[in-house]
Amino acid sequence: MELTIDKLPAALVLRVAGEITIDNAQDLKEQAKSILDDMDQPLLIMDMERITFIDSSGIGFLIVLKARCEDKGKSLVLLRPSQQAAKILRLVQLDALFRIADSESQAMDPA
Amino acid sequence: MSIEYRFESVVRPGACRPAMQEIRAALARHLRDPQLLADLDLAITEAVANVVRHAYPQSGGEGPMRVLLRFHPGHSVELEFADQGRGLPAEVARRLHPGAAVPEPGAEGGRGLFILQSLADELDVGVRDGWNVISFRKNVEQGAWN
Repeated sequence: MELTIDKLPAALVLRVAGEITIDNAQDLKEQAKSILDDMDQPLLIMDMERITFIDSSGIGFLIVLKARCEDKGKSLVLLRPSQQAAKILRLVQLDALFRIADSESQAMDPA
Repeated sequence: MSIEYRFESVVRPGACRPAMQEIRAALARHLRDPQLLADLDLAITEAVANVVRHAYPQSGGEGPMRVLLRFHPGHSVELEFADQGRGLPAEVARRLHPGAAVPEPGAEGGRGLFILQSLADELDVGVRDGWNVISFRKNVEQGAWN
């Protein structure tokens, strides 16, 4: 799994390439926590286009990320979930819980 | 004719996905539909994750696991996941049935077995020869086979 952090003026973008599973979700939660602690932007964009596989632990990571963002008064937008990620979000009926965007500019539009 | 593969391994936290590599390879030999393969990959991952999370707390999550994979070409795929751990708590096993309620949106966990149930055409939980067994069956249409 590769994590890339893009610091834009209006948003911080987390880009994950590879898998988010039981094997690495805990590490990713800890990484994301320290990133969120240092974040000044009001918006966190989670780029999911290059996530090749995500399981229920990965979904747990997204839930924690959302809760941490809310605690800090930040918004979270999921960007371009891959087909497999979109399917599992629907399966566990969480697709309506998250704001999902098709492009970075759409993600940065206020809801 | 059915074709059966049996896998025996030791599963441990942090290495669930690599432990299932051979099962994924066997599935890909017999099935061609990428979406079906992704669903089965998810089912396997959730089953192994369930064992690593709950079966062997006294050894830090590490313990033996057997997976049986049976193809009925043109019809269905069966998977059996077996462990020698402490077994599913009764209240968890009770939640495993078709149409089971989805876990609360804010809950961090508890979705693995729900996903496994959702992906299955038939799911059974039982004990056989001292092993806890989850049996998973998926019907697979003709065109999805190699």
